[in-house]
Amino acid sequence: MPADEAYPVTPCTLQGVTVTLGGVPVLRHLDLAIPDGDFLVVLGANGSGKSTLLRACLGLVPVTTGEVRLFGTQVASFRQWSRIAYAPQQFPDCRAIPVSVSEFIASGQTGPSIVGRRNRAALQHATVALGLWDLRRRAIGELSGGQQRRCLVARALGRMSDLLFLDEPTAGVDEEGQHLLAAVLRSRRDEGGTTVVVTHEHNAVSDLATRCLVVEPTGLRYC
Amino acid sequence: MLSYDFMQRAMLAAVVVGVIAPLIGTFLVQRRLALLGDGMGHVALTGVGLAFLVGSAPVGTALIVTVVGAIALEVIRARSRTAGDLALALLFYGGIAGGVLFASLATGSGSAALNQYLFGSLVTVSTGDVWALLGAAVVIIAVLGLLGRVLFLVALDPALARTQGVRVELMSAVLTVLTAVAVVVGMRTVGLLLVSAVMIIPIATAQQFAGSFRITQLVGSAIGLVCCVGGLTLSYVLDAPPGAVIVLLALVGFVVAAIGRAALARG
Ligand SMILES: Nc1ncnc2c1ncn2[C@@H]1O[C@H](COP(=O)(O)OP(=O)(O)OP(=O)(O)O)[C@@H](O)[C@H]1O
Ligand SMILES: [Mg+2]
Repeated sequence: MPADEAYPVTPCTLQGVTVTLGGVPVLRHLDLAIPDGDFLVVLGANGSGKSTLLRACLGLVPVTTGEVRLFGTQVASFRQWSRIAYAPQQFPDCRAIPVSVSEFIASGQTGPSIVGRRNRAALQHATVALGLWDLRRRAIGELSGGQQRRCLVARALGRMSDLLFLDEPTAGVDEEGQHLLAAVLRSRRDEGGTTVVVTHEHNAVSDLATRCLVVEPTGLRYC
Repeated sequence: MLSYDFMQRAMLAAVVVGVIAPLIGTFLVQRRLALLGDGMGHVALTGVGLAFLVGSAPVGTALIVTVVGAIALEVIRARSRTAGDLALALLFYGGIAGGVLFASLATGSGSAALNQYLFGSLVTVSTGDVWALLGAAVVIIAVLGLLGRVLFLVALDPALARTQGVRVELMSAVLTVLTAVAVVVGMRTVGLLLVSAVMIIPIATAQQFAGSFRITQLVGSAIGLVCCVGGLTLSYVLDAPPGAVIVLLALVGFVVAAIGRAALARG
């Protein structure tokens, strides 16, 4: 379709999406379109389904009704994963074997391709931007909660993606860290990247919002 | 000692398993699958028993049977509701039972013949075995070179790996098959019942001091090499089964490292 060139494909759309976890519907018949260049801030109470919404966008939880599309393709058959980055809310269990901060951040650039090419400049930029450069040789399991959160976010930023999902990137992060993150995300937004951020607080990151929505038991509400 | 041909072959086999086994073990420990190598060792026993029965080459037969067992394990895990450790337990029992049954049905080879595969042997490594081990080692190193980063990510964070386009189940299967091949590589020197220890103990030792996955893996491999070569030499001197000596040496190394770390932590 020639129209695609004039209007870029919507990075993410949800149509009539219902997600049921453990027999309980968590999201009910949601419709959501995240247009190109959007900076969407997602708010809502604990347990309202914010993380589930992100996970549904990424195809990590099955939807019982409706469909999810990434860049126009149904998520189940989507292949261009290098355009997507995600920082989950939960830090993975890294205690079995020591993993250094730089190894952790670089793991975000591992794709399905057999011979991995890495964009070292992007990794280095993400590490420096979140104030992790001096920690890069430390074992990640020995860092504080806020430092680990910065690592999760840096790993996602290092992917240089078109569409970025951040689940509570500022939880436990001090004011300085929030401003560092906001600075990176602002330049990302100004360069036309699409970003979805789940957060609880009003802070430097939520101030970047072009749109803001609240997940409620009755559905989505824009604010 | 190395003037004997059989010792040269045994030493070469020991070098290969000492270097290779910990490289795989690092991923297994990271995924909390430290006992997977043990399960694969039991399956390889069925392969050895089968080789006795039909008169084929034990290393080749064990390699085929173990790789088939590895794939079966992944299919059971992926397709049925059987939990991972339960599937592993089924493999343990089936593997031993099959090995003992086949070996006892085979005429002419008694428990002594089986013993050399269970605990390793100095004198029975053939030239053909050495070539098979070297071939398997090259395959393992090539696969780790190509897929090492992906395997690392899957071990670290499987959900995230999915959002980076990684086929997580396929990569799990690759790791299981690599483990199966490594078990067979170690079968002649360390023996099936103890080979998994060479995958795991050097890693437990290395991680006492290492600050990264890469360093743990490389130092673990070096420790594995020292233990296998040293253990084989000691076993020649003591006239004891090499597997037992190698593993005890590795354990001594672990205890020393753990004490050293505790001492360092105290100041
Ligand atoms: N694996 C699961 N099985 C069953 N229920 C689940 C599962 N994961 C989440 N839930 C439920 O789904 C609901 C939404 O969870 P979700 O993690 O999306 O909330 P959230 O809005 O991100 O909360 P928070 O602010 O605490 O991060 C919760 O009520 C939770 O109990
Ligand atoms: Mg959440």
